[in-house]
Amino acid sequence: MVESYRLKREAVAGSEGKEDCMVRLTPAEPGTGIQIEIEGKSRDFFRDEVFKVFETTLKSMGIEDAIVFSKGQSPLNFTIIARTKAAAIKGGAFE
Amino acid sequence: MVKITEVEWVENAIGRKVPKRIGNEELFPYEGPFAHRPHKDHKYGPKLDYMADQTSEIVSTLSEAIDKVGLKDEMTISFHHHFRNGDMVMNMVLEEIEKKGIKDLVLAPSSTFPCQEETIIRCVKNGTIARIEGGSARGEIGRMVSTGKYLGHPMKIRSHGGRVRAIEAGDIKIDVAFIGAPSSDELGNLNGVNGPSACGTINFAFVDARFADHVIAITDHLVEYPNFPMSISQELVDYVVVVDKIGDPNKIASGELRITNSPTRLKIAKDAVRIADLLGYVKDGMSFQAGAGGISLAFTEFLHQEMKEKGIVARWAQGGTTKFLVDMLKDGSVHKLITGQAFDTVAIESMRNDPKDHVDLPIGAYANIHGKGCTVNKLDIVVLGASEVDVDFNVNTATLSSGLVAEPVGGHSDTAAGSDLCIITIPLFRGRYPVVVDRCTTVVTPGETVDVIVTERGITINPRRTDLLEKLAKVKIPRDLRICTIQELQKMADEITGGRVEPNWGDEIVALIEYRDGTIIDTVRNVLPKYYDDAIFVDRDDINDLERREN
Amino acid sequence: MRLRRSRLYVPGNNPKMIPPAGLYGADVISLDLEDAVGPEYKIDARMLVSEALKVVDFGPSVEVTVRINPLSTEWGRWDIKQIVCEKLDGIYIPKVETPEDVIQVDELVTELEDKKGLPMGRIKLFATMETAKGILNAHEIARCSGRLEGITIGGEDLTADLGGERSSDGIAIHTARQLIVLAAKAAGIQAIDTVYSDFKDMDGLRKETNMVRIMGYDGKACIHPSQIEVIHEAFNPKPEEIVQAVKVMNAIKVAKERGSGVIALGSKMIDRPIVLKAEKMLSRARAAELYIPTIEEIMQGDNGSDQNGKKGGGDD
Repeated sequence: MVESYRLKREAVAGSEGKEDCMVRLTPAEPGTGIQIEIEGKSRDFFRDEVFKVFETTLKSMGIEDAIVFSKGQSPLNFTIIARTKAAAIKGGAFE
Repeated sequence: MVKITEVEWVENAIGRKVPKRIGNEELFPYEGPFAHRPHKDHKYGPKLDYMADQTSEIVSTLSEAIDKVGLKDEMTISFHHHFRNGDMVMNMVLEEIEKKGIKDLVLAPSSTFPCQEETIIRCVKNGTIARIEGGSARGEIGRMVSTGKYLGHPMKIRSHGGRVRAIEAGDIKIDVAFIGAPSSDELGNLNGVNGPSACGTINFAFVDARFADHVIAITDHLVEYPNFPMSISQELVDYVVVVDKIGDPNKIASGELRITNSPTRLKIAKDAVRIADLLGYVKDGMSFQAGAGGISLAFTEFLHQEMKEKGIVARWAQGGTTKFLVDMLKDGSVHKLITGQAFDTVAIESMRNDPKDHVDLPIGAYANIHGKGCTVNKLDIVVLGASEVDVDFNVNTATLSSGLVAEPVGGHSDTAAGSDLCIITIPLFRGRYPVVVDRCTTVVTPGETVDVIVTERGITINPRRTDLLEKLAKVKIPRDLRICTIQELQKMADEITGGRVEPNWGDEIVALIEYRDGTIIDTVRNVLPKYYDDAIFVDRDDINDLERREN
Repeated sequence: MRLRRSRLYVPGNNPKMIPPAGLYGADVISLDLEDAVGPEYKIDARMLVSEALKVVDFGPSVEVTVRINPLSTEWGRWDIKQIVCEKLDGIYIPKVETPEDVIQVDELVTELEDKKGLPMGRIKLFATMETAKGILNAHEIARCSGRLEGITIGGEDLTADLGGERSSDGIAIHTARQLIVLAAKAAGIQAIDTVYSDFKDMDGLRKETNMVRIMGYDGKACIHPSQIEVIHEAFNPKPEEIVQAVKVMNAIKVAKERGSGVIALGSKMIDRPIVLKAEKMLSRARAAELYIPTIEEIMQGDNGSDQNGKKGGGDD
């Protein structure tokens, strides 16, 4: 069972460069769940899939509540996952 | 539009559901690449005509020519696409027709380009055009087709050979063919090699000229009678109209086509040459077809280098002709060239100056299966692109993975069927879109006719080709070439992209993919609005690939 | 041992450059978490490389390595923990000064292979010496770990550490270069040279690569794909060298068949160094899949008959 981890502070990872995304995680009140807002190209057709990637990644780290803002240029999944994880680490989730 | 619930469906030979009939038109389901014979007995014939002793067919205005041929509502008009994105003819003609208030025409071009989009869409919306019977629907026209609005009838998407078949069989009955002619004399002897808007060949218009009831030639270069070469000769042309400009030369033919510098595409092109070689197809007397897309040009260049190193001479090649093919002709690496379309000024000049070794052919002679023999049957190797390939080796070039109608079929299904070794060169994925998928969004070319798929991360051979697999088992595979199954490629593509996403289909039929023999190989539905803002292609090369994919 | 003629650095925090990294033809790629990444981005880079290693395919013949941060930094240990996975072939350890620096990594990797259920001992190590101390300890470092398959020299940092200057002949680090080769060969491992940073200067690159090849280096690092072809050309045996090697091996075979203890090729005696060179040429040619003619083909050519020098294994 994954322990529940909490973001302690807002943190940013990645950039808005080509095939990259900037991910900003902001702590949210427990119980509010994961709220995601995305800006950038190709977001429409893959919107559902990209949302799932954020959700799955955060949940796999035991983070149940967070505000996610992301802006990028068509990042692949591994980039989205990596930036989300990096932001979570910098946000103190594992401290 | 026709709703999917309004038709009776039948499953065809590759497991796709296609309608049995639409309205009172009976349709034939695809049965196999060589299974279906003509369902009519004789070719359709145009009207007989009469010309007393006139010495000139020149008419002072386009408007007058249109009146004289008696263009009326619901007639079918056709155009060739040799001027590509520099074409001015179609817009000019449609604008005249609009002014006359003629409505509900069927537009039957051999292909369309972005410069024509605005005019065509406006004509569809204001009722001038009711239907499009086209080879392709790119860009905004493709989007319009995919909405299912405005056009009342599903569009038939055909290959180059398929268009000829359809015209000869009378499936498309052209009332008036408008032929943009880079040079013409006063009786309508036309060619594409001379004049300021020279495009090399006007062979796509040959079948239109022979089967249309009326032919109007539009030229910006009137020459003294008789005009040689007589690519389309005078007995087929009703009227000649002289205008200032029929095309923009810079957009008709490229001044300088360059090989891609994308490492992915270079590797794919290089590996395509290597696998063709390993399979024993690169040898004296070979024949091949090259295109003008990014990977194709690189393939031609690498093949040329390989052939020079080994002292191999090809018997003939066809294309998509470009400087790269002409260079091979010049240094003796290939004996003869056949042009399907000329893409750059070098190719055009070569056609003009070297008719002994470089000719064009009617598209029917190139690709029509319901004719008496076509060049694709004699091809050893063809290299083609795709928007998708699936685990059955079926190929999609008509729609994007988002479901949007977007690309030409070109000569894809024709060359794949006719050639001995059909190589599909594709990147494994484009942005988030996997190119090797479980199931093609739309099938244009059936897997039976596809032999090898080359991606930058692996090559796969169609298991049906046991002969190729046997050959491969006997040679040493270079350490940096991976030969794998298509399932492995699909898995790789899925892992990095997250997998194919099913388009948001609506419930209307907007297009039918007609195989080269007139059977229906797949159906395209409309796509619901939220997916229109797609930007599938990540870089310029991909967009150029699309624009030049016509093989 | 593996062919490691070229080693391409790939900036670890650049999502666009990672997926195509294996397509350029380099023998080795090094996803760089160290010098290519600024301190504020170390975590971003580490996670990016770690996730990329799970899903990106770099090709069947490419050795996939990561240059981690030194264990003495706050990042090094975490780098290793994140990147050890199925697709990782090797780890480059920068700023190595003592055998301890390598052994610590070795132990951590062993622990992780075990914990993650990976084949034990598969991940190789490579040590880069970039300081005077490190270079002088090269001999001990090169022998200290069973995972260590190569040592490299970090030219820029070393020159700075020495208080010397860069020059086109690399004289400041010349002895260091030789010490690395000595240490590597004494320990039976490979020596890889440092980058040539002016990637527009192909002639300079060629000169330097030829020089280090002559010294006994097995490969060279590079920062731009355009450098790979020049580097491979320098390290690949020349056709004449291959021919000579075939002749030597044939002379040995013939002598054995005759039961002769003396091996001669033409008028020259073949002694051990010549044999070693021949073996090395052939093994490199095989690894690089270069064309190796048979002795019959060579003799035909020598006799002046019409021999078309075909490349690749022709099949008639």
